[in-house]
Amino acid sequence: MKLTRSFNRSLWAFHFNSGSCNGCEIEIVAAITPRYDPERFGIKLVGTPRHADVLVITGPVVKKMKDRLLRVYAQMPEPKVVMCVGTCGISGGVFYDSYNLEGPVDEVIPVDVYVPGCPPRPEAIIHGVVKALEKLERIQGGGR
Amino acid sequence: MRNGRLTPEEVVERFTERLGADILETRVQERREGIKKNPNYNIWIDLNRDALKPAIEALIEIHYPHLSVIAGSDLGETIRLLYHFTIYYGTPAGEYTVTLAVDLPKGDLTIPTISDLIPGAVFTEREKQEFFGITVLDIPDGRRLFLPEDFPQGVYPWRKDETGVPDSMVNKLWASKRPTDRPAPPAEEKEACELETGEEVEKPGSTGVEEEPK
Repeated sequence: MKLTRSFNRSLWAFHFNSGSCNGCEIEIVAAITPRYDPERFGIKLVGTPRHADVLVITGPVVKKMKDRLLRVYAQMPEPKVVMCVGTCGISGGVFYDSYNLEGPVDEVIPVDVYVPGCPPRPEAIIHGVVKALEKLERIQGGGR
Repeated sequence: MRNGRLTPEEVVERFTERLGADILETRVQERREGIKKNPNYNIWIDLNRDALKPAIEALIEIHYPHLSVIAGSDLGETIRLLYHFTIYYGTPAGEYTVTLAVDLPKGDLTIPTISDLIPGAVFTEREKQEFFGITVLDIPDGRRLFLPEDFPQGVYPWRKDETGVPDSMVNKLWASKRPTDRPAPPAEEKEACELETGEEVEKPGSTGVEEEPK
């Protein structure tokens, strides 16, 4: 992928756990280790949604996290891209018969990139981030 | 006695002497762990409900116990609570797990609190209250712990009877945005094949060779 001029800064991601089993978290941490080293492209996890371009969500949305997720989403500056990592956020996954879920992530906030897998491999997560980057460029009006 | 510690059999004896007929069943399980195959002992003790607190007092006298968790399972007629303890905690390869099991009939789901003996137990007791509908008598804090505030009363998620979670409470995530207008798959489902001896294994290979020239 060729970086366009419109992408003039690093891509920062904020990771949000909305009730995941920690499997996806382990893979996200694996994706930012020196083995893949996405930070050489400026892709890194940040500690607050106010600094982030991409919201990385793992897990189905549990009842108590729904309000928090909406608040975190509202705190992110435009343009923003939402990434749903793992099968749970897409279709419930292993929590398919739970009584405590508020539907898949895309019924709570709009999702741009889906990364399926239980858990997805780090390569898949990085691929998803690249897709998010492309989308962000499109939103910003670059990449023509 | 090894280094002032009781053997697992002596631990069991201590309980049977103290509580007599209230002990319903005891079992000592030995497992080997590590390259050196160090023995690891699990002690299982089934009790009457009234003997639970004396049993924990007896356990405290043996050694400072570490309560892992109170586990529970719905067995149909009864709910079985398992108090998982470890004694001789911190002794390398010398810890015993002691599990005290109590059966509660569904008609009378009450159990005395053990949080006066082990204050930290109040959290796991609160969890058992909300997930099984058990009443822990004299619990200092009987609020809900994990379930949301608007969770309906009288629904206990870990119960397997009619007080369990009804299907209407399950938000079917897998059905969300699933297309309903797709045609049925053209191929019918294959019947489960029955494996016969010898012949069945050869067939796929021989037919494959014949078909290839076409």
